[in-house]
Amino acid sequence: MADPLNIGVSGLLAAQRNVATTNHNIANANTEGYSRQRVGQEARLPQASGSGFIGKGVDVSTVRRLADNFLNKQLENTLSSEGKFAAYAEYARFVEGIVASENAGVAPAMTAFFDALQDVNNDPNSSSARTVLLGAAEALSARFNEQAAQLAELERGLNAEIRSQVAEVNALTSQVADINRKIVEARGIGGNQPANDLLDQREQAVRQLAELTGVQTVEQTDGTLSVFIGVGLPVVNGPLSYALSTQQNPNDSTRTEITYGAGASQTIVSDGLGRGRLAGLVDVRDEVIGSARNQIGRLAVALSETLNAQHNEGLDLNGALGGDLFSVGGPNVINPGNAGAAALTVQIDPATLGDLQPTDYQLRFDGTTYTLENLTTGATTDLSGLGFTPGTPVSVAGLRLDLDTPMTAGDSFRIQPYRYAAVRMQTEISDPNLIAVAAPVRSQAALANVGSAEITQPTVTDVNNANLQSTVTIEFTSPNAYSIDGGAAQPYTSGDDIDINGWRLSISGTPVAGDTFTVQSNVGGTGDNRNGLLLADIQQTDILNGGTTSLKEGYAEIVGNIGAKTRSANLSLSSVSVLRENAEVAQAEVSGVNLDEEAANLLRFQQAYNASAQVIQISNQLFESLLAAVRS
Amino acid sequence: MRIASSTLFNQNVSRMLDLQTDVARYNEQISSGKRILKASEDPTFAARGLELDERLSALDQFGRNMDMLEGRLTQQEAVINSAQDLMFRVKDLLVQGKNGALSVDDRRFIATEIRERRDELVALANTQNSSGEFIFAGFENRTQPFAEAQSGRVEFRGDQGTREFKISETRRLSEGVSGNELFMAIRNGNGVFTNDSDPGNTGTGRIVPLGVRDQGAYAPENFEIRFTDPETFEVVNVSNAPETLLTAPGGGTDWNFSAGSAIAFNGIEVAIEGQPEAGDVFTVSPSANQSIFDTLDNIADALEGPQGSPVADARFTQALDNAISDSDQALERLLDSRSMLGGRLNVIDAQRISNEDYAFQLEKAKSDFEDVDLVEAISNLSYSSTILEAAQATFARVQGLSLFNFLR
Repeated sequence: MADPLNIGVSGLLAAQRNVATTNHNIANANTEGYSRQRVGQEARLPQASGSGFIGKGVDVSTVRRLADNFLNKQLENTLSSEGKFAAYAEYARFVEGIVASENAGVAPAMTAFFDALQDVNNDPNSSSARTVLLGAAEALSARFNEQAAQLAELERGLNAEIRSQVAEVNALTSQVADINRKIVEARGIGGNQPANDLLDQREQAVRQLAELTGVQTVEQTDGTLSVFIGVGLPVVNGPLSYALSTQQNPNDSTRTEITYGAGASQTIVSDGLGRGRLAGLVDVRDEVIGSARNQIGRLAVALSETLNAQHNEGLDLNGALGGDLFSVGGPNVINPGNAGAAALTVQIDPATLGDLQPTDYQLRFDGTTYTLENLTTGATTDLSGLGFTPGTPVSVAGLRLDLDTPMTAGDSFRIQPYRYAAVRMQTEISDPNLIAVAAPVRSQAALANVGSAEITQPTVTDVNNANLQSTVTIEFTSPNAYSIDGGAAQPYTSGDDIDINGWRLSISGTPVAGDTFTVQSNVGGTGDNRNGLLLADIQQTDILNGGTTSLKEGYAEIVGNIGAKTRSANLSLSSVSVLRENAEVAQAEVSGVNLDEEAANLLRFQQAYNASAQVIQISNQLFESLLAAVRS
Repeated sequence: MRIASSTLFNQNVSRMLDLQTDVARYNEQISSGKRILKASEDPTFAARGLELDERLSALDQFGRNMDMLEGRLTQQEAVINSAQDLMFRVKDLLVQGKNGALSVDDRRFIATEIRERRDELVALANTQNSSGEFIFAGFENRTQPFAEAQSGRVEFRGDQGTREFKISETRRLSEGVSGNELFMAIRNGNGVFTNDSDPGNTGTGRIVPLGVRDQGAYAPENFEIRFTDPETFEVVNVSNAPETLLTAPGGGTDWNFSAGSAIAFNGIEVAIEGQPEAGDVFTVSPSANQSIFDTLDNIADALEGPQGSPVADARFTQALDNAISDSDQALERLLDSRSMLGGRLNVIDAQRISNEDYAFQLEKAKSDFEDVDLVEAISNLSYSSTILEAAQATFARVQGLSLFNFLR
């Protein structure tokens, strides 16, 4: 026969469990990763009797947590995406601050330099104008140095973060492995009851892991969770975890790479992580920091090469041809342990500055063909097709590549044309008198000329001509012919160019036999600013990108590029943040604790408890009634 | 649908954070006056803005270039003005000097003044600018360009270079006139040809230019008019050996002389006044460059030359006539140069206006891009602050809602 007392006690106990679980939920309402728990209770097996089944009370079968695997995975995925874009946007904003800030950028320094140059042109003899120009030149190279150094510093910080985040990944994977072990143990002790709080802890650890790197998880039948990263590399397998590590990139020691495995099987996995903060760090390093450095480096190279070439064609206050105004760090070539002994020399080709691309390259040899890979676009150039062999240099993409001996098949070189360009940029002139704004030669019409012919001032076409500054006399032997320095008569056509000794000029009008013109050295012509005007014109000359972009536009392009990248990173971040919030809300809808709900449950279970207590009291009274009947 | 208490809390908090970000942003927009605070907010503008800044600053620099250039041109203009006044005075003196009533001493006195004027002109030609540059020296402008040589003539030691200034991205303007052009390379005579009487002439003939009649037929060659007797002369081209005799209007090579009537050859016309004698020679040559200083020297020399006899007087008049046309040429050069400078100053004014217009457009483009619409920003600010206040009030109220409040 069913025992009302037992039934009452079972109800009392069930209510107690329920109250305890509700309290547990309330206590953990703010615990991260906690999933609310519910008591699973079922009616006891009834007692069969002739008059039907008689209930025997309630049993507590389990305490389970409310969690939805799909929603959890969804949350992990969105956390991974958010982690990636957060890192990307964070560093892109730093780069933006370095490159695109209104006052710290290269643009104002470049403007100041060209303004000072024009002031010198207006007053070439003024030593104060010249001194101001030198100061502006130094400020310009310092600005390039500073930007490059700040970018390098940012990259160092990023590499350090990669190392610390890899350590964090390892800590999390070993934590997951540890929890795996505890879950197996708990299931042994608890008779296969779910280890709710351990599961929550493990889920929380996986979520933190997902923020750092994209993960795939598979729950095994023994309750353990296997975790994979990237292209299916296991990092947790049951109670075991496999650590990631970091090493220097063999092609570029300034880059920290993430590796998987140990010893011979150690491989670089930096680019295969897919999502998560680490993937964002790796991407932003190449796409934003590296690209900004290459672009700034390219600008520094183009600026100094162009200004130097023009400055070399001028004459300084001492009457000597101009030297270089600026110098930049040359291209960097890395040989990451080639088998062969071939050495590669790379120089900037001043004749094809418009072909320079802001990227690094890899030169490879497969035994028959030399190929050059653009590491930004992945496009390859068949150098052998261009006639590149050892001893036969070629100019490609604005670079002059020169190999001394044949490479061994499979060997390669990393070429970083601008790695040190901006950071090592220097002003080469320290004496204001050495600024060369005068032209090396000037022309003169003899006072005794009777004809109406006029001569233009000569422009330099080849500053290296040994006779550049020699005096040349052009004498007309008739209105239609002239001779140079008494040489053979040459036909005269008004306005035609005359090219001699590395300069060019033209004579136009009607000369008379006996008219003479002379071209002579302009040494002493300190008031001349012809070369200075040509230097100033460089501000508007289209040099970069195949001769379509001027220097100032080149800098604006960098700012626009970085701004656009930062903007798209910010937009991506805010959209994935919304997705992550939605996933969190959806997950919390199932697993989160609602305090009002728990309060209501508390009332409900309190009532159940009171009712069960009443049942016990009534069964006691029933028993008392029975005893009284016996006693009386 | 159920909602977790933490969701309710988090959503409210993040909404308030978003609103605060908005409020801070509008606040910053208003206080800075700029719509764009970072390149990433509008990358196109950031790039365009840099270019606009660069252009504006270039225009600024062009403005400074033009100020400097204007100063230089004005200084030259002033020098040329003085030179012109000086030449006007010389012309007055010439007219006085020609006056037959003057005594030899009077003329010598005039000659002395003209020599003084010449020295004054040399000083003007050696004017220096504020940077110590000789403004008419050309490129070698640290050395004095005009100086008197051993021979007593003024020589030009500068060069023919003229400096240019950048006044717009595509336009350069020459700084001025070179000293060579202004003072040295001046065509004598009437600018095409010059004529003179031979100092050894025994008659009283004087040659006067009537002008160029046919520029196309003119060849820059040397001619002599030789009198074979007082009524007849030959016109000889002496440029190339052997000499060639020109055909007279009536055929043959003998030309009939008539005082003051036109003698036409080589596209030009001259006349001979007075009475030449047999053996007298007059020359006609292409105009050559003669410096303004030589012209002044010639005038003084002529004034100091012998006078009194009809032959000497004829020679004196010839020299003075030639000097007058030479000095007219010099004066004309000064006038031309002055109007050229005036033209350049006008170019500067026009360029200034056009640069200012351009700068205004650039500023406007920049401000359209960059400047915040204050009305919009302020209304945005007050809108988002209102929402923020509402969110705060709701938060407090929602968080206060709890069933536990009723469990007493």
